[in-house]
Amino acid sequence: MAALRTRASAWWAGSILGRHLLVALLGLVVVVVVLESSSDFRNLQLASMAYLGIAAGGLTVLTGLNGQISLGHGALMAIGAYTTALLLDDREASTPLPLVVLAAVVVTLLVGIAVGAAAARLHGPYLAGATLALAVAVPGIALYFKEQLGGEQGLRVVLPDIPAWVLDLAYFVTGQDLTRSRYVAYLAWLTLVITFVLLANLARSRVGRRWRAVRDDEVAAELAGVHLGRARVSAFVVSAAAAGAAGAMMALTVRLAAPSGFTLTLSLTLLSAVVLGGLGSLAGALLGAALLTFLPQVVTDIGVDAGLSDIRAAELAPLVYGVVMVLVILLAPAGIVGTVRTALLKRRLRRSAAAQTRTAGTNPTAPGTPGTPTTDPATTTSKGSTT
Amino acid sequence: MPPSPSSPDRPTGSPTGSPGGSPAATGAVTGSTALALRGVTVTFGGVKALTGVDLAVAPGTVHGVIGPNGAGKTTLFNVACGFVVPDEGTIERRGERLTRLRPHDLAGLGTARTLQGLGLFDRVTVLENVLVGADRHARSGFLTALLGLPRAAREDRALRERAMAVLDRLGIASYAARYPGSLPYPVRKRVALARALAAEPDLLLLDEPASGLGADDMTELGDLVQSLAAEQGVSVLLVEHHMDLVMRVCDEITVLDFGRRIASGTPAQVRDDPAVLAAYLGEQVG
Repeated sequence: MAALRTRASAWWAGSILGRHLLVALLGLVVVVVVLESSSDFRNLQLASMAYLGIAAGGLTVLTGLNGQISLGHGALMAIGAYTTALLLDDREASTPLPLVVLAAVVVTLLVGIAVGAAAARLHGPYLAGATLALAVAVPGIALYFKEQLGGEQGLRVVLPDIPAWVLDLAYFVTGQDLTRSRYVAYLAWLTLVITFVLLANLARSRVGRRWRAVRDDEVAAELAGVHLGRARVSAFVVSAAAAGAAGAMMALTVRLAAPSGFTLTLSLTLLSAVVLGGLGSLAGALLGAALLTFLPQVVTDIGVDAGLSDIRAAELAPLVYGVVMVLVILLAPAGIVGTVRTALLKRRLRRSAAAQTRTAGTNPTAPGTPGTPTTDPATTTSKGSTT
Repeated sequence: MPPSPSSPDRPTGSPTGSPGGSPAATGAVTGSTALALRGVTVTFGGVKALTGVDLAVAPGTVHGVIGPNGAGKTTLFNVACGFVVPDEGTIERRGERLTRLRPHDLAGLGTARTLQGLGLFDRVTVLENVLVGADRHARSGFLTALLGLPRAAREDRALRERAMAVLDRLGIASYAARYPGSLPYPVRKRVALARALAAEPDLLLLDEPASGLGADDMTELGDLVQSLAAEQGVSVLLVEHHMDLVMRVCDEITVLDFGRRIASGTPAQVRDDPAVLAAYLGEQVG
């Protein structure tokens, strides 16, 4: 039993992909349970949480791991959404859905390469300014090419019929007929899970390590052989690709790609979700997306219950969101997930420190000064646990 | 602590390096220099930071650069690293001229450098810091990382072992999971050194490695530098203010003053050079 447990923990530590897939699988089970047990309206809400989560996940990798700020992720989502809308313009559109999503990702990725190459030369506020320009310009493009992109009205997105095998599979697994809203929600969450597994793989790999090195100290990273420009552009492109997937899912959920959906507010909202959840944490990005989606409604309901008129109750939501934002930045600047993680880490360190003092106490001859090599008991214990 | 017998996993040498033989033999076999700067002149605006400086580091030796503040020591380092492009002069590595040297090329060329200001990555653990240093030994690309293929995990494990071995050698393995900001300065200094050593360079540039260290740490550092050169054939270029350390570990010393080389030779020769005494050491040594 003990041997089994050590083998399991060795696998857990050793196989990065295996661990991510296991978490993804558990996540999918939760998704199925939640989606099956909630109404059509909730399903659509959950779908919008998923596309916000995908975009926030991409942004948290860019901002949290690589230290680049982007105010243009809403615009990148727009590119994904318009690509989807152009490919799904009527019921006869024959492109299979996975290909449509892939096309949206690829087109956004190409735009990301262009923007990222320019952004790699910029820092902090300048980068924010450049990406801000993107956020302002992209909706303008849709207005200018009225014929092709539908102008102010936008483009309608026609959701293709659900394939028969999907209907059969859904009925077989859940015993319920699959509604179109639920289908969209499944698509969005499946995309989220795939995106997060890929992003988590990258974050844990040497690619992610180089991104963090560039974030923390450019000169030292460069001396260690990291090509600064390449690291920055790759982080931006990965983040843009995620925004493209998010845009595709948004188009499918809202069934519309219109300039009003991709204002600067969307970009700022994404950034605030990432900060709320905790920079650099995918779980934080998802939490932020959940807050964005559900907090307004919960607050409004509470307001109505408290006897406020409907309008007053609706006005309460942005206020509460703002207050939550201020509180998180004041009390937990690392974001919600970041703060919880730090607390856990501190507790573990305290425990291991206590354990070390106990070991040192039973063996008083061992020199306990840090920095003295070889005979330090701390050295040996930690060696045992890390290899 | 005995230096770990790490010769088996040292990089298999550069194309221009000596064929075969143990790393210790590298210095004896190759005739060319590990690093040579010839006639390097650097001007910042109207100020001449370096004027026609020559310097050659023989393989497997420790070469010290000393001089009063503002003599151009750090500029010299920056030229050797590609941060500063010299107005005149050439840089050679193992007899090969380097043109358009960029800092991120250094690791691939087998050069590692520590920074005066440490430059640790503060928001990742000590182990991760050292892993970045060891990164040049990894080959897997972006797609392998994206898909989390077993190859990436395997390579990562190998990097981790390498990094832990270096941390262990420097006696800081117990800090592997800590963040650099929470550690005392001498330990952070070791982390920076570990990050440079993890690349397993054949040329190591140390920028004031002893500053802020106590006497014991400094002795240990001196032993380490000597063993790196003598046992692993690493060539070391050392900028340092602590004279006793420089005199103890260096095989050769170059003295700079106002951007010019005013003397070079063995520690004994430099110590007795009247120009050096006048410019730098003053009465204290004489």
